[in-house]
Amino acid sequence: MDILLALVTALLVLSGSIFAFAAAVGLNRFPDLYARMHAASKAGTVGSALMLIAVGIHAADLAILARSLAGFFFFVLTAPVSAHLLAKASHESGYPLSDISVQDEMKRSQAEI
Amino acid sequence: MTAQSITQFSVNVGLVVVSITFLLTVWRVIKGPTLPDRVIALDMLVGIVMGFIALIAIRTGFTLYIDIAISLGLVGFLATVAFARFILSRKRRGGEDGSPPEPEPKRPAAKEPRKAATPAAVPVAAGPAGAVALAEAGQANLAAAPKEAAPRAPISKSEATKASAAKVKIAKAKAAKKAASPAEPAAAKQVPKTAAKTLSKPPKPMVPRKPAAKKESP
Repeated sequence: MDILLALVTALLVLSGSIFAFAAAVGLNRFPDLYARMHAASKAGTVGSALMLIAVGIHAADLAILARSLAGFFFFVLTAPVSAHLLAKASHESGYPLSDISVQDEMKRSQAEI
Repeated sequence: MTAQSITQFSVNVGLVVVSITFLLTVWRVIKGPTLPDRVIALDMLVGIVMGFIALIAIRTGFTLYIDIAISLGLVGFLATVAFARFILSRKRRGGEDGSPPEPEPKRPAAKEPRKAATPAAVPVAAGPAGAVALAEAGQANLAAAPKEAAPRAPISKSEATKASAAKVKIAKAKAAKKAASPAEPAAAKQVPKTAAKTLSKPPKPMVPRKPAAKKESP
């Protein structure tokens, strides 16, 4: 039983850190503000959320698991909101897409304001 | 291999990977060409530090660290929202990311040339279109229309070009900017139609159309 808990914890920790690492690589490699936002706000969120769950499972205590789940849900619910706010604000204040991007569907609504 | 050694090993590996991740994100904070880039990187730094705190909690056994991680996430969310409002109110500065500096903030700069561009672009577009309409009107006069229609033809043409100008103005800013090439065939298409209409029943439709066209034209 102990071994199983340890294995699950190890799996969660390793996959979470790999997700976070992928997010950082995407943050440095993508050409564009909005593409970087896509990497950071999805993979980065999943990475730290998996590590939070790992703490709750490792402790094997219901109170601690509940707290870590609360933190997980809070983080997973707020990260898309903040990323969307930031993307909307930067698009509205005129930060351009990269040259290789194919389409900007919000461009017309911005031009009509 | 005991359970503790498995956990210890995975946490050590995780700490190394998360440290590398942290450094890469800090590199984006330093390098990021624009302010939103730095804000995104800071937002992700908060998430990475939450993961870091979770790993430390596993390693030391102090599960009280989870509360610290939750409060850090709250602070990070509020900071990102505040930064978003700040970016929205600040607008983009020229030359921030190596682009040529813009003398004006973006929104007035985007509006001004559109107003200036349409009257400048319309005569260019109306030039050949008007010529086409003139030729057609002349043919219509020769063929069927009474002689009265001849002096009125230019007026109706200008009306038609005004109406087409209003249509062009309503169209996208892109079309207005490129008015030379895409607007010309469009105007050429519209002008003969309206000219033919006004010619076929000469003075009546022009009178009500005049104020409407004047309202829309600048």
